[in-house]
Amino acid sequence: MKTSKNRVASGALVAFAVTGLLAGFSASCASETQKMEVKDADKHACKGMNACQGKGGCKTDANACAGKNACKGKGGCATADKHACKGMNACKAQGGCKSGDNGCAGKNSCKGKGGCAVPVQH
Amino acid sequence: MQRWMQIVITHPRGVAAGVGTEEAKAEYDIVPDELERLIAPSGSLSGLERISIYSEMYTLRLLDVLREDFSVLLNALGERRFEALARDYIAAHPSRHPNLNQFGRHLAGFVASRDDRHAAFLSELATLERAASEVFDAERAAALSRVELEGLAPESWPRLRLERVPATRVLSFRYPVNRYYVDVKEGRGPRIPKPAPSFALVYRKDWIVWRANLSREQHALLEALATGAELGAALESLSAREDLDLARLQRELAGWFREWSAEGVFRSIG
Repeated sequence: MKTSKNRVASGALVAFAVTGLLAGFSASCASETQKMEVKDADKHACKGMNACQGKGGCKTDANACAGKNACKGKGGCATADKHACKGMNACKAQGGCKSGDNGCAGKNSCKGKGGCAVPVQH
Repeated sequence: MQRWMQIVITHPRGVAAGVGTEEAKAEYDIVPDELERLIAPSGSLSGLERISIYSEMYTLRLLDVLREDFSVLLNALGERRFEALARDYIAAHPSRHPNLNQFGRHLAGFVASRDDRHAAFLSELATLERAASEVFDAERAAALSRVELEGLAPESWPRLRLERVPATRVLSFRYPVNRYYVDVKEGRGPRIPKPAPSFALVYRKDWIVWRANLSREQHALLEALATGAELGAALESLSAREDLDLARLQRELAGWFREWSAEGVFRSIG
């Protein structure tokens, strides 16, 4: 009996889930409700994240950004050893870094990107 | 010569210790006092001092990597204790991967094994920070699209398998580590918290890594989907939980999926 009820319920839940998924594709930014939730939870949803630079309203935490997104195009790969260059956070635009997309992925391309700062909790 | 230099420069206890290793002796069988046979002194530095500059630079670079990737753990421990931990870690888990983003991958486990009354919490904190690094560096993958979903017949929805993109981590903690993280970043100087279960989703969108708190139910659902469960089965399993408020789930579920969809959490099914 309980199983049957649950199946009925899960049928409705599946519909809710897919409805939500479809709605998400239209949500280029979070809804006002979600924004409020973020504000309630964290006033600085961006602060201390890994990609503060270039985002309005982000109080950039130098430590949090250091070595992550702010290195693009910077010179100065350490010369102590090969490790110091490969796979570092600033592979792009630097000679000698051959770590491939995975090594650089998510590291250098963030700078200046816009983007929704919601609906996340920091 | 390059191989010998690599061995002695990267030895966690310094050049003199590195010179004495069997590995180094296989290249050049010398003792530290004979180092200047290979490394000429300068006007002001001995051969040992000259090559030790590189050795210390190597260690400092690894320390920098750990400081950057575990900045909240650093804050929790303080500079002195963090550096002691990091130096022990460097010795226990030497950098072996050409990508330094991999270097901190054992730190959470290493912290857990330490004799520290807060080891469990600190390890979870390291886990959260490590997850952010992994997500930052994870392979790109196309997200589920509207076209794909609209192409499915409604009767097939219960059998939908929603796999997450690689740049996501679903985490379960015994401590409120994400709250602690936020408090540190906002300068509130939090104390080590008491145990309290918490759950988090770490994901990347447009090359930016985010952390989001999850409810226990959201965590359970994402974990079920991650095991390959079909959407209908995962929801049925969730709705069967004794402690679940079904009416609330029905109110909130669409919002959960809306958020996950908008954030690109699920992978293309194409």
